Amino acid sequence: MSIPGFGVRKPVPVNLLMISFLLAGLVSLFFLRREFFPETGPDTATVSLVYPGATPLELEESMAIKIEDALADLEDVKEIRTSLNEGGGSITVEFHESVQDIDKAVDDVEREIDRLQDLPQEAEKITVQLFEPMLPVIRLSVLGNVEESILKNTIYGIREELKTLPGMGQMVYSGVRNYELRVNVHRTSLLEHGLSLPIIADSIRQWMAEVPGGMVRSNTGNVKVRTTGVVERAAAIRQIVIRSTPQGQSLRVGDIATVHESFVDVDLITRFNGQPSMGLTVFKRGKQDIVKMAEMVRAYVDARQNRPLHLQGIERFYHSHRAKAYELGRDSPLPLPPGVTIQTNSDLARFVEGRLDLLTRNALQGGILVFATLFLFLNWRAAFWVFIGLSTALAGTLVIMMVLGITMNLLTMFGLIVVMGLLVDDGIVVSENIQKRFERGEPALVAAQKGAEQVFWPVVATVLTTIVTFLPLRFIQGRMGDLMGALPVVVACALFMSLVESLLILPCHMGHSLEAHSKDKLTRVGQTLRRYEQWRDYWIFDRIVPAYSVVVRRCITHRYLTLACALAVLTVSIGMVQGGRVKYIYLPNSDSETIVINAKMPIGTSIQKTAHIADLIAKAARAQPQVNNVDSVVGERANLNTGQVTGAASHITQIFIELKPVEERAIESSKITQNIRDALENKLPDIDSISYTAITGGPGGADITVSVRGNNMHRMNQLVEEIKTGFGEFQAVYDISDNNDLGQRELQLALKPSAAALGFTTASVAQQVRGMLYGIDTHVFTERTEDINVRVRLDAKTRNDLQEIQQLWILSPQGKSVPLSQIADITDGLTYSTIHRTARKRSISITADVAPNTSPESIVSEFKKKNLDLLTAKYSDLEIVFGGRQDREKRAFQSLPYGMMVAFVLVYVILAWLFGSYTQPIAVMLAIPFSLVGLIWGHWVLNYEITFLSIIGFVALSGIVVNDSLILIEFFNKHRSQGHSTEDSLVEAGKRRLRPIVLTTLTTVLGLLPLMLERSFQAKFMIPMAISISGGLLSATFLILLVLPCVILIIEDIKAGFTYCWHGKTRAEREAMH
Amino acid sequence: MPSTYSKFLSVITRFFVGLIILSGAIGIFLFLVTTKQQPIQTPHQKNLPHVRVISALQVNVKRQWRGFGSVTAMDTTDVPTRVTSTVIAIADALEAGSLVRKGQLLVQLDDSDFLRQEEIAHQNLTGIDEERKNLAVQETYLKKRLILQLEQQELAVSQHKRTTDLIARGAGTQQDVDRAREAVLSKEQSVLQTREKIQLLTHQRGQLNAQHQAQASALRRAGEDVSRCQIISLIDGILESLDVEVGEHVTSGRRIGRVVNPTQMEVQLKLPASARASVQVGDEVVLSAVGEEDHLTHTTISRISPVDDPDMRTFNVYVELRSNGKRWVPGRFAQGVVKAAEPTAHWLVPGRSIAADRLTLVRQGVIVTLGAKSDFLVRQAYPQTGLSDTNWTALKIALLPEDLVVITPSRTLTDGKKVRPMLVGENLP
Repeated sequence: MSIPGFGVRKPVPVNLLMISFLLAGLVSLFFLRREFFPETGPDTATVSLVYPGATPLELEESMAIKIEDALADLEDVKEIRTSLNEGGGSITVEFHESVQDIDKAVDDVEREIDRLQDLPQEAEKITVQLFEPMLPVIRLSVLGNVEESILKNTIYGIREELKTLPGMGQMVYSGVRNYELRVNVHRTSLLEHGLSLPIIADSIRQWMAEVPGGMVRSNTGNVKVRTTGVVERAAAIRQIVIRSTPQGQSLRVGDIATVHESFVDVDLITRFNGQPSMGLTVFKRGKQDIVKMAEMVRAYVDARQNRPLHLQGIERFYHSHRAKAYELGRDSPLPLPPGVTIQTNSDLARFVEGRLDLLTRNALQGGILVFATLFLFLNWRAAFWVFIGLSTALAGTLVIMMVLGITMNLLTMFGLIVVMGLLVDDGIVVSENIQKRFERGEPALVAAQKGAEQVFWPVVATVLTTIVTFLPLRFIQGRMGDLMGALPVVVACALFMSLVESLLILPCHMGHSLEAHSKDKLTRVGQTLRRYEQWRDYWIFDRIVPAYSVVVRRCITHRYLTLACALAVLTVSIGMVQGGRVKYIYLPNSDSETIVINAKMPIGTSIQKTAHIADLIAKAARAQPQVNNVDSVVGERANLNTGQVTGAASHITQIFIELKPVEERAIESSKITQNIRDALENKLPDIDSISYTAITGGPGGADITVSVRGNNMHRMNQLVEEIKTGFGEFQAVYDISDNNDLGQRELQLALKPSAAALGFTTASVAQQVRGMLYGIDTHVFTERTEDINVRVRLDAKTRNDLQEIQQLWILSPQGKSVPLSQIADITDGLTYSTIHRTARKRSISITADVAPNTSPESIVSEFKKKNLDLLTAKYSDLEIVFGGRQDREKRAFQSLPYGMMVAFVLVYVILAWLFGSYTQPIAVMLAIPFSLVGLIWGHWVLNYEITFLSIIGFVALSGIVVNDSLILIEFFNKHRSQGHSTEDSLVEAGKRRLRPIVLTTLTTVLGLLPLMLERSFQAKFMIPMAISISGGLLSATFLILLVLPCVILIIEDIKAGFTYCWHGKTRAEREAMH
Repeated sequence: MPSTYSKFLSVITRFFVGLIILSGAIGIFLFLVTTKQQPIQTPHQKNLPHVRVISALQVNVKRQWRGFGSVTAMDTTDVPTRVTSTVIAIADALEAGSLVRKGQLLVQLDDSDFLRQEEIAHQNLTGIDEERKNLAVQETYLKKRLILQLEQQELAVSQHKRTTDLIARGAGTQQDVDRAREAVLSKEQSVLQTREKIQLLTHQRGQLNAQHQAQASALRRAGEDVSRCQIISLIDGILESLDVEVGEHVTSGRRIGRVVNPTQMEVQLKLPASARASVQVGDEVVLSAVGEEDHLTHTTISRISPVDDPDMRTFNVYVELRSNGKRWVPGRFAQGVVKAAEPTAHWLVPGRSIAADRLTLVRQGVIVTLGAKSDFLVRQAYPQTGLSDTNWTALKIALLPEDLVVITPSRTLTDGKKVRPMLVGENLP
C-alpha cells in the first residue's frame, strides 16, 4: 500500500496525527525561545592581562608579544587580536569555524600560556575564558540626587535580588566605582619627616596584618591564637604609628596624611536624563529567552516603584515568571531610599517582541490572502483542506524547531513566511489533481489515492529541489553564516512536514470530503458557489487558457526571437544594477531603539570638560521629540557586545540614547541620528572624534572599516592619515576616525650616573615614584563581596600636577630627601594610551560612516580603484585589510558560490533522475538566472536597495522557480510519450499547468505581499529578501509559461541539427529507416 | 523553391531582428554602466585635518626654583643654670609659651650654700686684714730697728777704724781690733737679720695680699653664686620650654629652658644644587607654610650657603622673616619659591605641547616640528591664550611671532603636512 493509499484508507490514525501536530505546535509556540537574531556559538576565547600600573608599551613587550608567539602555532587558532590599555589588556583568540571542540581549543590556549616562564612578576594571573557573545537585553538605571554610596548600595541590592530569579542573564554594572580606603600623604610631610611612601605603606601593612598564631592544646581543649590587626576603618588607620621616640613622641598616619573611606579615584560621571545614576545591564548569554528576562526585570521594577502588575492572558491561571519577579520586588527587605528611583531603558526585548509581532501579523495577513486566493481559484473544499494542511505543516515545523533548539527569531520567522507559499504549492498540486480525477468520474477515495500517487514523485522532487537550493546558506562563513544557518533547517523541516501532510493527510481529507459531498444535496450557498465556479472556470478555461495557447504557439513559432527578447530584458536588468540605478548595499542599517554615541576628546582632557561635551550631546539628543531617555557615562567606555569596560580615561564618553518605541514615532533611527548629528554641528569645541552606533541586536559596526597592520608605527601613522584623507574626499563619508590612541603624555625618568653615589637604583626610584602616583596597595579586605584596597599615595593635588611630579623629592637610602631632578633626567614623551595588535602586528583601524542611502560598498570600491594600488606600492611593508562589513561581505560571498554550485549540481541530478534526460534539467534550470529580472525590477519599483539578503532570497528562489517548470516538463513528457508532437505537448502542458503555476506563484507572492508593503521600518531589513522571491517568481512564471517551451524546442532544434550533422540525415529519416 | 527562399528570408530577417534586439539591450547596458553615478568627491584642500593651536606667547618671566625648609628663630637662647643647686621656686604662671622679658626671674635655686660660702669668705678676709695690720706694725718696728742697727753698725765700723788706726799707731792691740771687728760684724749681722725680716715681711705681706684677693674673689664668687640662684631670662621673647621642676637638683650647665624671640626668624631653604648659578642674595622668595599654601609671604634671600650638601645634592639659602608669631613660628615647615631677580623674555608653551623634546608648530598652514629643550617650568595661568593650563614651559629656543603652537602634539602631525589650525574656542566647521 502506498503512503497516499494508507492515508486514504486509515483516516483515524491520520486525523490523530494531524491533531497531535496541531496541539504540539500550539504548545511549542508558547515555549519557543524568542530572540532577535539567531545566537551564534562561541568561537573566540579571551585572554585577560592585568599588570597594574604598566603602560601599554610595557604590556606589549613583556607579555602580549610572548603570548601571541606562543599561541600562533596552535592549529585551531585562526586569528589573534590584542588590545592593550593602561594596566591591562585582552587578547582575543579566534578559532577556525571548523573547530568542533571549542573547550579543548581553549584548554590548549591555557596550556600554552601556562608554559610561559618569563612574564613579569608584578602582573596578575592571566585568565583565559571562552568568549560567549552577550546581547544587552535590558538596562536598569538607579538614579537620584543622592550620595554615590546610597546609589551603589541600592544597585547592589537590586542585582542580588534579580540574580535569584531563574533564567536571569548576566548582569554588569556601569558607572559604579569600587570602594577604596585612601591614604593620601601630603607631599611636604614626606620632606618634613624624612619619610618615603614605601616606609609609610610598610608601617600600615604591618599594623593591619592579621596573623594566625597557632593553637594552644590545653587540657580543656584546643584554643586558636590569632593576632588581629588594626580595624579596617579610616579612624583606626589614622592612629597607626609610623615612627616613635623613646620619649613617647609618635608620628602617626593621621599627622601626615588624610585617610578616608571613599571610592576608587577614577574619573567617572554617570547621568541618566541629567541625574546622577548607576546602571545595571542584563545580558543574554547562551540559550536564554530575552523576552522572558526583560519581562521579569520590568515586573520587578514595577514592584519596587509601587506600580501594579497587569497579568496578561493565561498568566491569570498560573504563577508566571512575571508574577514571581513582581513578588520579589514587592517583598524586597530594602526599601528604596528617598530620592532614588529605578527605571528600565534600552529594552531590546520589547523591540524584538515588536518585530516578531509585526512578522506574525504579516504572516497571518499573508495566510488570509493565500486562503482567499485558493478559495477563489480552486474550490472551497480544496482551499479549506489545503489551509488545514498548511496549519498542520506549520505546527509540525514549530515542534521540530522546539526539538532541535531553534529559536523564534527574525530569520526563522521569515523562513516560515517564505515557506508558507511553498507549503501551499504541494497541497495545490495534490488537491487539484485529486479534484480533476474526481470530476472525471473516479470514485472519491480512488481519485484521492490515485491523484496523490500520480504526483507523488514530482511533489517529492519539488520538495527536494527546494531543500537543496536552501543548502548553500549553511555554507556561508562568518557572522552572516551564523545568522542564515537556521533558515535552511526551518525550510527543510517545514517542507518535510508539508510532504507528510500533502501525501498522507491531505489525500485522506480530500477523499472523504469529496465522498461526503457527493452524497449531499447542494445547499443555497453551495449553489451560489457552484455558479461562481462555473463563471470562474469559464473565464479561466474558455478565455484565458485559449488565449495563452495562442500566445505560446506564437512564441514557440518565433522561439529564437522570444529567447532574444528574454535575453535582452535580462541584459538591461543587469545593466540597471551595474549602472547603479538599483543600488547594492551589503547590509542596510536597520532600525534601532538605542543609539550609542562614542565621543573622544584629546587625550588628557579633564573630566569636567568631557562631561560638558557629554552634556551638550545629551541636550541635543533630548531635544529630539523621538528620544525617550539619555544615559551618559563620562570617563569610561563599555564594549557593546560584552558589557565589559574597555577604556577608562577622562577624555572619553559614551552616551546611550533610547528612542521611543517604533510604534510611536514616524521616523527611523538613522534619520534621528542624522538630526542629532545636524544639531551638534559646530557645537562641539575641541572634540577629537564622535561616532554613532545603533544597537540592533544583529550584525553592526561602522559602514567602512579599514585596518593597517605592520611593525613600523611611524609609517603606519602616515598610511592611516593618507587613507583617512582619501576617504575624507567623499562627501557622503563622515565620522572618519581611527583607534590610534597616541597622544598620551609620558614623563620618562632616566637615572643619572651620579645617582648611584647616593645609593639610588632605578628600582628604588621607580618604586617611590610609582608609589607616589599610582599608589601602594598595602592591604586588601573583603566587605560585601567586594575587595577593598587600602592604598597609599600622594595627595591628589600633587599627583595630578605635572610640574609637581617633575619637582618631586625622593628619599635616599641614607634617609635624606633629594630632589628628583638632581638624580634623574626627566623627559617628556608621547606614548600610546591603547595599543592594538592583529595577527602579531601592530594595527590601527580606521572607521567611517556614510550618509543614509549611500552604499558603503560603492565608496570602498571607488576608493580602492583610485588609491589602493598607489598606497600598496608606497607602503609595501604594511598591510591594508578591509574589515568590518567589507570583511563579512567578502567571507559571505567567498563561501556562497561553492554552496550554490553544490546545490545546482544536486538539483540537476534530481531533475535528471525525474525526467530521465540530460538536457531537460538544463532547460528547467535556465529559469534561475532569468528570475534575476523580476528581482531587479522588483527592487526598482519598490525603491529598495539590493542587499545581501536579496541575494539570499535569490538563492532560495532558485528552488522555488524550478518547481513550477518541473511539473510542466513532467506533463510535457507524459503527453509526448502518448505520441503527440513536441509543440503540441508543450502547448498542452502549458494549458494544463497554467492555473496551478499561476496559483502557486500568486500564493507565494501574496503570502509575502503584506511584508513587502509594510511601511514600518522595522521590517525593512527583511523586505529585500521578500522582494527577491516575489519579483523573481513573477518574472520566472512568465518565463516558464512563455520562454521555457521555446527553450525546449530550441534544444530539440540543436539536437536535430547535431543529428543531421553527425548522420547526414534528419531524425525522422533515421526513424523511418529503422 | 519560392517557399524555401521565403523561409530562408524569414530566418535571416528574424536573425537580424533578434540581433538588433540583443544589440539594443547591450547598448542600454553600456549606457547605464557608463552613466553610473559616482560618489561625489571634494578637493583635497577642503578636507584638511583640524588642529588646535594657540598663538606663540612671549612673556617676561622670572625663573623659579622651589625649596623646603624649617623656620628657625634668629634670636634664641638656652637658659642654663650656672650653679649646682636645687630648684626651690619657679616664677608664678611661668610655662612654655609665656612671654618673658629680659632679666625676668624664671627660676629660683637654693642659695643657702652660697650664702654660707660668702660668710666664710668674709671671715677669712677679716683675718687676713688683721694679719696684714700685724705685718705693718712689725715692719715699722723693724725699720726702726734697722736704723738703729745701721747706726750701731756705723759706730762699730768707726770703732774698728779707730782701733785699726790705733794699731797702726800702735796703740791698740790686735785684740781690740778683733773686738772692734767682731762688733762690726755683729752689727752687720743684726742689720742683715733685720733686713731679712723686713724682706720676709714683704713676702708675708704679699702672701697675705694674695690670700686676701683669693678670699675676696671667693666672696665675690659666693655672691655671684647667690645671684645666680636667681635664673633670669637673657632676652625678651617667649619661653619655648621649661625643663625643670621645683625640687629638682640641677647641675651647672643644665638647661633650664629656652627662650626664642619670634619677631626675627629665618627659613633655611634647601634648593637643588643646580639652582646655585641662578640664585643670588636679594632674589624674591615666596614662602608658604605647609598646610596654608594659599597664604603667601613675600621676602628675599639674605644669605646663601657657600657649600652644597653632598648627601642631598642641595644647598641652603637663608630667608629672613619678620612675623607677629601667628603664622610663622620656629619649627614650622615651609616651602618657598625662589624667583630670579630679573625677569627675562621667554617663549612659553603649554607643558603638554612638548613631546619627546620636540615642539609642533603650524606655519602658513603647514606643520613644522622643532627641537625644543625646556629651559625651566613656569607655574602660572595665561588666560589670554584661552587655555586653563597652569603648567607652562619656558623654551630655550626662539619662535616667530606668527607661529601657532599645536597644543596636543601627535605623531600623525609630521613635517610638511597641511592642516587647518583652529584657535582654542573655535568650533569645528
